[in-house]
Order: sequence, then structure tokens, then C-alpha cells
Amino acid sequence: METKRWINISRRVYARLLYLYPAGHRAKYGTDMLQVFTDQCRAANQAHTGLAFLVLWARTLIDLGINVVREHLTSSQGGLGGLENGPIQPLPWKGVALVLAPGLIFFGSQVAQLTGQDWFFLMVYRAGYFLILPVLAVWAWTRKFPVWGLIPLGLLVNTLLSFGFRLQFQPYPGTNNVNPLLRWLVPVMKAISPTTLEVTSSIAILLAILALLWLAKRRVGIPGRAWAWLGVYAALLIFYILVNVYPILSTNIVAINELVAALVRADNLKVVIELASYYLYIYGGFLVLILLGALLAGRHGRLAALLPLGYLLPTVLYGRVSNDWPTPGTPEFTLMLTVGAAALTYRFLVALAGPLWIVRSATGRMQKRASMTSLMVLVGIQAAFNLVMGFNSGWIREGLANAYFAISGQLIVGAGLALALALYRNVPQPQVGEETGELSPESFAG
Amino acid sequence: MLKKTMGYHPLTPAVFHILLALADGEKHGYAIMKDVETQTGGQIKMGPGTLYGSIKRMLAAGLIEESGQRPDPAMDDERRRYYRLTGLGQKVVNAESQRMVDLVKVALQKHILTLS
Repeated sequence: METKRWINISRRVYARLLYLYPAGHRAKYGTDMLQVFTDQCRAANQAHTGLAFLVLWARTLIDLGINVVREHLTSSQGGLGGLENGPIQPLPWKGVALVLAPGLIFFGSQVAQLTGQDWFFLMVYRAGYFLILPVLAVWAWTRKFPVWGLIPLGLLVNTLLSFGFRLQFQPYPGTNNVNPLLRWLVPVMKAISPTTLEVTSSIAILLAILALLWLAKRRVGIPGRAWAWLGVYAALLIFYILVNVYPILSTNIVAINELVAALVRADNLKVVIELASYYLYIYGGFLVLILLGALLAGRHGRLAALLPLGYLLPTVLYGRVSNDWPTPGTPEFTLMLTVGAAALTYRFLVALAGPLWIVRSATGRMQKRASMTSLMVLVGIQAAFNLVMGFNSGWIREGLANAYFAISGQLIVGAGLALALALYRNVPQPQVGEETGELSPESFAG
Repeated sequence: MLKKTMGYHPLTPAVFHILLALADGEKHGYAIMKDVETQTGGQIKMGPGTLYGSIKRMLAAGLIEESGQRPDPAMDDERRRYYRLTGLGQKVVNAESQRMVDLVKVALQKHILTLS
């Protein structure tokens, strides 16, 4: 009687623990698992020793711990593994929480910045490295890139490009940096000539773009509209490089042969190559991200728009104009209030509202609208910000052409985002039900 | 044979042992678990989580199928779900076994193993 009581208690406890599994898995296999556990309890009971029960429970708890995590990671109902059940469905809320986690960190740090605490830049320069770690772990385990990994990946690409930029174009002054990687890397970088570094990195980015274009064309296809936007992107970038190069060559060039003659002069050529490399590195790197998203869109469809959203997440606007708030009623106070409100609005949209709208959209059309609106409004805010600040400081009033320079970056990024929206499509997928989410043979490979 | 089932190899130990357990006829979950324990001399003791997680993935891949629900005469009158190998499952377990035999042959040639 006593041992029967132990079996009943164990059954009841195990039945409760089964609630740790995803609901779909529990509904399908919960009864069977409880049945098997009861059989194990009966076998332990026949051993006529309390130790058998203890060993059974120890083994069962380990089995439970491992498999609960595994089932959540691979759950087709949007568990930790994300959207295994196809991208054209609202993401379940536990998946939404994971998608919003990086944004919450950035939004919190933006609020802190406006209240005088400066840990925003710590997030800008460091968060990307840490937020990608769980994504990589889940990717390695499930062999599926999770939807909630898109924002951290976009953020990481931005962080790495920014790190590379500072190494190449703004070399660190010394080798006594607290970062051990930099202590090792800076002397190596300083040993190489800046022009070699810049040209090499730009060529590497160009090669990466070509490779990704080839891969995207083969795997997911590139629609005509995307080629058109790619052309616009390239044209805007080339124009931007030219308008920056032109004043260096001469202000009196009117014919194309004069331009070529000035260009091939050795000293000019070096400056032009460095300048072109600089812009190719920045905007070529962004293009690499967009094309990477095209490959991920094969799995996540339009939700791949979260990738450029992750890239825009740490964008630095102006934040606080000065360390202390000016006296209320003064023009400085109004400016700081406007700047602060704009920064907060931007961060709220990029970190929380945009991703939430995209992942909770129920149809492809709604996803497209959510992605387009979020991304374009973000770039619009950046452009408006630059225009207002440029106008306020007076340099736009010096010449209206300066307005172009104020928003030229946003124009190129805007074309890149339009390219992304044309590339990221919901490709038709076989309808997979809750229990058929893992059809690949790779699931069984040891 | 191996070519057709290439994507499945090497199998995880749990999946391979479940396939082996079902090779001599259909079984329910607990019977599979006991069979695996016996065939490995008690070295592999699967918990319910590992067992049904593997069964779920094997069903999805078409390696096994349900063969209905009925009481187990050896136990009490509780109804149990029985599983059996599919044609693909049979091919995969054959190919995996052959792969292991080939590995053993290599080990023998290299005198890592000796036949006693």
C-alpha cells in the first residue's frame, strides 16, 4: 500500500512536470509519456528498494531538463526556435518576447541617456557581440536560424562594420587599450599602410557582394524589381562618391577629359581611391547585410526585414545635446527637448513598435506594409533629423546643395531598404503541421 | 542503399536503437524502452522525454508509423500506442548497420579491433 502511494505521488508530480513541455508536444505525447513513467515506477517498485525510486527520479529529471529545452527549441508552435511553422503567421508571444529583447535593452539605454546616464554607447559598441551568442547556440543546436536571431545578426553586422571602420579609418592612438584583442590588433593594423587596408577591405566587400548575389539568385531568385533597386543603390552611391571626389580634383573642371586628366594625377588618384574605398566600405557593407537577408528570407520570408531593422537599431542620432538640461523656455531647452523626443521616438519605433508590428502581422500583405512603413519612417526620421540639425547650425543655409549632403546617406540607405523589401518575399512552402515541423533527414544525424 | 538514405546517416544513438528495437516487430513506448535497455546491456536507459522526442521526429520523417492503439496483454488493460518500421525506416536501419559493419572492417584492417 505504501509503495502504491509512492507510485501515485510520482505519477502526479511527473504529470505536473509535463506542463514544462510545449503545449503541442504535451497534447500529443503527454499521456504516453506518463504511461511509460508509470511503467518505470512499477518496475522500480518491484526492485523493493527505495534507492530504485531515487535513481529513477534522478534519471527522469535529467531527461526532462534536456528534452524540455530541446522541444521548446524545435517546437513548431513558435517556441524558442522561432517560426518553424512558416513565416506567414503571427509569431506566438513567447517568440515575440525574444524578438523584442535586444530592442528593450536599447530603448532602456536611450531613456537612461536622456536622463543623464551614459551607458547607451556601451550598448552600441558591445551589445552586438553578446546578443548573438544565444542565437549561435540555438542555430548550432537546431540547425535552423531562429527568427529572433535576425535583429541580433543585423546588430552584429553593424557593430563589426563600425569596429572595422574605426580600425581602418580612425586608427586607435595607442596599444594600451583595455581590450586585449585591440592590444594585439592595433600594432598589426598600424604596420599596414592605410590605403592598402582600405582598398583591401573594399575589394573584400565587393567580392562578398558578388558572391551573395550569385547565391541569392541561385537559392531564392532575384526579382526584376530588386535588380532595379540595386541599380538605383549603385547609381546613388557612385553619384555620392563623385560629388565628394569632384571638389578634390578641381573646381574648374567642365569637360570629361579634364576630369580624367585630373583623376590620373598620382596625388589625386590616391585621395580618390581612399575616398571611394571609404564609401564602398560603409555602403557596400550595408549591401552585404541586405543580400545576407535575401538568403535568410528563404526561411523567414518577409520577416527577414528584421535584419535591416537590427542594423538600424543602434543608429546614433544626437541624443542629448549637452550634459545638463538648459533653463526651460530658452531656445536651447526647446532644441534639446525636440532632439530628445525625436531620439526617443526613433528608438521606440526601431526597438519595439516596428519589430512587434512586423512579427504580429497575420498576412504577407500586412507584413510588407509593416516592414515598409517601419523601415522608411526610420530612415525618414534620420533624414529629417540631419536636415533640422544642419539648418539649425546654419550650414544648410549656406547653400541648398548642402541639403543633399545632409541626407545623402539616408537616400542610399533608403534605396538599400527598398531593395531589401523587393528581395524578401514569402516563398511558397509545403504546409507542415504541428508534428511535421522537422522533416529533414539532418534531424537524425548524430 | 546508403546512397538513397544518405541524408540520415550517421543516426543518433537513440534513433538507431529505436529502429533496431522495432526491427523484430511492432512495439509500444515502454516495450521499446525495455528493448533498448536489453540490447545495450543496460548501457542506454532512455527516459520518456528522449523516447517520445525521438518517436515524434521519426514519425515526421516517415521512418516509423503508428499501428493503432490496443491493450498490452503483458501489462494491465491500459491502451497503448504501437509503432512499427516503415519501408524507409527499414532501409535506413539496414544502411546504418551496413555502415557500422564497414567501419568495423576498417578497424579490423588497422588492427584496432581483433576478433576473439
